[in-house]
Amino acid sequence: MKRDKQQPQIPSWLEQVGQKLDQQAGNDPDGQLSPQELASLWAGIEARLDAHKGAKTSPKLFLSLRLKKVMSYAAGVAVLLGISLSVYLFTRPSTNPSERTLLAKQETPIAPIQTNPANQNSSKLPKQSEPITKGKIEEIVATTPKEASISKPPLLATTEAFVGEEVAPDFATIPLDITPSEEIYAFSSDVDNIGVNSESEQIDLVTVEEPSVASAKQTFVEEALALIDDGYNRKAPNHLTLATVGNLFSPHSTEPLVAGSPQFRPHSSRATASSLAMRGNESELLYKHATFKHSIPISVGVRASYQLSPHLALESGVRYTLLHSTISEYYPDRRISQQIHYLGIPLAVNISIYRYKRLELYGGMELGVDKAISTIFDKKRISENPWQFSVGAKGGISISIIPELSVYFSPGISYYFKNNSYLRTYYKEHPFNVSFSMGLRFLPFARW
Amino acid sequence: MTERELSDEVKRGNRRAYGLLYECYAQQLYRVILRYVTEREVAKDLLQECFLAIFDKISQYQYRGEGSLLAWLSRLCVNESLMHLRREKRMTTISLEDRDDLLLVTEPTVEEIETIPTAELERLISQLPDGYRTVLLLFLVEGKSHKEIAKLLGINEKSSSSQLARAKKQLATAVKAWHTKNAK
Repeated sequence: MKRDKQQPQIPSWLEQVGQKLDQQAGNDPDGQLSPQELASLWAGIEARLDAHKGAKTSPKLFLSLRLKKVMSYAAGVAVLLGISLSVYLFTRPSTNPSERTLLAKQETPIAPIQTNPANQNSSKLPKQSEPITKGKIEEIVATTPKEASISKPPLLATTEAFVGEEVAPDFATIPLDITPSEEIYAFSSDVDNIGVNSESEQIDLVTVEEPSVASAKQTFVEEALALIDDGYNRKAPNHLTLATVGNLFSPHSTEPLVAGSPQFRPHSSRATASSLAMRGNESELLYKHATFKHSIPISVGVRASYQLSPHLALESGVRYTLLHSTISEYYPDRRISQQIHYLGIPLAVNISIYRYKRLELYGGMELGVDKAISTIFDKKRISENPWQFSVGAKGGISISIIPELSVYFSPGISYYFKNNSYLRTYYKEHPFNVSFSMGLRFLPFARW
Repeated sequence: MTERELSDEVKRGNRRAYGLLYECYAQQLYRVILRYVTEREVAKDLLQECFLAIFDKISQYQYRGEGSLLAWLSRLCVNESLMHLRREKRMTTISLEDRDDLLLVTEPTVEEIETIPTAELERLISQLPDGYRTVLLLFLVEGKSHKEIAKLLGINEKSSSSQLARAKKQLATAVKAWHTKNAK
């Protein structure tokens, strides 16, 4: 008996039973295996050893068994990390500055337009939209007919200051979501109180301070429009100039800003003409400066895999991808959407890391070629259908349902290359992204 | 070939050493398994599984003198058998309140145990319910404490103790009955 520890007292007869069993001297034929049974069992053991690559490589086998265990845990952790990261990316608030601006602006109520002397001193308001300001300065400089120079930070007047004056009708289509402190740029010529050098047609700061300058401002506005139109006509198509105007006069310039407020109806024929021209061209700059909120791309497809070797498989198929974006600040009074439908071909090479019965863990590289087949902007189809190329790395786990069909879960990272399209997409703004895909894989040549 | 040499060759993956190990120990290990799993066919299947596990885990074996290899192999087979019983959910537990079967019975003497053939004693033990038999064997043959038995079988210590008491009583009755029958 092996018992050498302190055990509860047992009767001596039972101790004797233990000793007899320990001797293993039984000759019970029922407790013996016949030579045939022994041989048959050994044959079964050998067959299973062969299935595990045999005893010749058993040290490697044992090592690989341990390695496989570690790899399994690693793959499991990778899958969990992939899921967590995907969920995080899907649920986190946007970090895009322009989207943050949108959120801030959405929170700003659209107040009835009124004259408030306290707000007329725009220089005291906090400065906002710095990126847009800089960008616009550069663009205006680049497109000013006479090589305009900027003497100091351009512009301005607050929204309230403009619309509170008699000249307000000209600005009736100022985007509703402009915050009270937002700056508006304009060209100026010879308005004294706004410090414009008429000789050089400089862009300058326009500060509307007193109601008494209403007529001067109206003059300024008309001069600015004339200048812009002039520039547009000479350098057409000058999107930059148009876009500058577009920020003052939206494509919806024919609509009243506030219902029942006739003073906010546009009546400037030039503004309307520019706006219409811009609307027809789908101004790229207006598009560029709009605020996009991109949804996570959704992709569905069918894939087939061809086994090149026991550990290497080539995989390809066809996939459909939808990129959906919500756009604000394109039109002043509503949001619009952009949908790009892609049809693509992924080409992947998968390396099998671990295989156990129907379970397989693998890693791989993937190239993707996608072609937009339809681009819908504001419910209208446009002709811009760019190509999109991508490269990625992934890990995955697949479970075979039948030899020719398996279900897979595969987290990975991808890089989407820049294309020449002006379209703003999720891929363009997030060239590196983490994906988590799942689906069915066909293995037409597979055999267990 | 000594036990040490054999184990070393098996560790190196020598296929002939595998065969030799099987030849030397298959019968003994089968008997070990058969104590826990009374069905012959199931025991044969388990023996196969045990040898595959032995070849897989042989690197964990450390030689500690003659007999240590058999002890290690037997322990592995016992563990495999217990795992099988747990998988099959054959480890039934009995309510502690039900103590009717723990009434005292006349216990056999040491002489009575000595005179009974080992094969016959094994047969009597094999007729005990799975739970009783397993606890009795782990306690008597493997020298496990109730705490260890409880851990191995996934039961509590009191249950182990209770099952041992019942096993003892049933075995005592069976031994007495065997002697009564064979005395005639």
